[in-house]
Amino acid sequence: MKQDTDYNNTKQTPVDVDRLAQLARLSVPPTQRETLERELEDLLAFLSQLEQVDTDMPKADPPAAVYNIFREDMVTPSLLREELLEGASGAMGEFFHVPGGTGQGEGEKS
Amino acid sequence: MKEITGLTVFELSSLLQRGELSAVETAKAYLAQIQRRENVVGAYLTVTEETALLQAERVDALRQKGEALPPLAGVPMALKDNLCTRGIPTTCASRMLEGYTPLYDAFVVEKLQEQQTVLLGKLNMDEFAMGSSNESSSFRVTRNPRDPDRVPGGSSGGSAAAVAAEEAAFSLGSDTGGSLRQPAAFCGVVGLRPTYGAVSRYGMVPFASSLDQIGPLARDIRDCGMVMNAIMGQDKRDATSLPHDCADCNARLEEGVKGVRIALPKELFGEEIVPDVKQVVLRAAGRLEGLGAHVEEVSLPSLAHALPAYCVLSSAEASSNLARFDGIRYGVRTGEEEEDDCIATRTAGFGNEVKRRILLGTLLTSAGQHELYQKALRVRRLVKEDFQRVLRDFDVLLSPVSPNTAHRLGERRRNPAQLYRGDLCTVPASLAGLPALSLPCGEDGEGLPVGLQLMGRAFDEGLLLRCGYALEQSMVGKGEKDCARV
Repeated sequence: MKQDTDYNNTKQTPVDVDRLAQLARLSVPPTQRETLERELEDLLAFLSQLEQVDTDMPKADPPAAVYNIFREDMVTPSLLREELLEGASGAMGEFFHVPGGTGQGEGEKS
Repeated sequence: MKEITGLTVFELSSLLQRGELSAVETAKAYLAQIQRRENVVGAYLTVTEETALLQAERVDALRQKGEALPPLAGVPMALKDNLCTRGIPTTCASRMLEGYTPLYDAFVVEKLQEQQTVLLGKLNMDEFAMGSSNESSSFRVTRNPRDPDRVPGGSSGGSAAAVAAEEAAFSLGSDTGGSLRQPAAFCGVVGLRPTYGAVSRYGMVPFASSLDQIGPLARDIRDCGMVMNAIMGQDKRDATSLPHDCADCNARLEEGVKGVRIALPKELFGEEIVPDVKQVVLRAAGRLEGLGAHVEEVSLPSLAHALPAYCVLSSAEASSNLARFDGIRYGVRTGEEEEDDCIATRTAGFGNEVKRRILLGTLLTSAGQHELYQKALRVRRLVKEDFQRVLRDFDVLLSPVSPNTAHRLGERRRNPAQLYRGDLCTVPASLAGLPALSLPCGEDGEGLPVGLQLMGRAFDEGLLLRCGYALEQSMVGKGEKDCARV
């Protein structure tokens, strides 16, 4: 089995876990930050071996044939609003209840 | 006569059709087996006893009326918990979906309902199908029925363990980079990853959409083909499902391998493969040669880079797919109605492995890293072209499923890179969108099952099953067929 040190010679790119977490809408506790940073840097170093591969071709393509899928432009039966709202994380009357997204004090709180 | 739970789907189907066994009797035997084995195996997240008995009663009533029923009518099965089932919890083994009950059935669930199968329950898995040992499930540990100190593999670990422990006659799993083939190999059962587009993914919670496929796990090859026949088909609700003739996969099952050209990709027999596994797989290849197949080593140079390409693409797609879990439309919401509810929800709902992959995917799709993603897409094309080249001269490619047999629980939990490397042999077919069959071909020195992989041309599942059947039959009476049994 190959050892983890195989790709230690490839460049190490610093990873900003807090920035990534912000983009991914996650929060990383300080106790886990260092471990995650190390793991992500290790993984990135492993993945960076791809940079050495000669891929002289115009572009990549998907695994199966590609063509447009059309359907009739007609209304078809859909799920019932009441049923959907029953499964919602939060509901108000006939609406989904969405947490405020525009900053403190800018939106009306329920 | 064998115990009911020891019968194959084919045997069960014949007995049920002839009226020598009732569907209720069969369902009860399986429910009793689940009761007996679950405290050790832990394959199920939900057991649907009431549903199972109702469905079985319905089948018996129809049969008594003399109605002609489909081949799988009354056969008890179970589903990986990332397949939506109307009115039955579907959690993806994640706190994020704890208590979530879908409003609709997945396409494959509809297909199995048309067949009038009996649903025993929903099966454990790695959280959101991210993992290869089932240890990232948020809810419970699943053990390998062959050795309870070992993992069942993953992410469809519950699906493989349930079949191996005779807690279901067959199951469905999903396969992104080997998530169905590797647990099948670890537990000593058969698993088929269909051609990309052969089975609609409508109603499957996605991990990496350009790679995900749903497929059957069963005790033997014939059963696997029977289930594949039942679930394939195009579906307008999944734009990636492709039109095909849905020919009977088992039609030429018994025609043997005389003249079949089998390629052994040398890149999948390298130093990463432990000697025991390599020896058992090569011995099986020799057996196929003895049955009349032409076996020859080939090279697919791009396979050396398939694993990092897969990691880049699957993580990038996962981070995008899992953005939908925001604690708004469904699933759990955590927080105090503040603007950062979404962050609180996602932080509490996702486990560590899922978070790691989301962060990695976010990193790979963020400014400055897109070149790596582009490179991975190009390597994917190289892999596809390599397969196309080899499949011009050969009918099938043969390799191990996994570099090793099942490892001990907890052994590799702290080493994600090593766990990812376990996908070495399975990711190439995923990247190329080709069908791949995993079947037991013997045991290692510790008596653990070794899996053999057969990969073929798009929509040529029938040939893979035919080769697998020839190998399976060649092992009957030699003590090795038993590795498909607990």
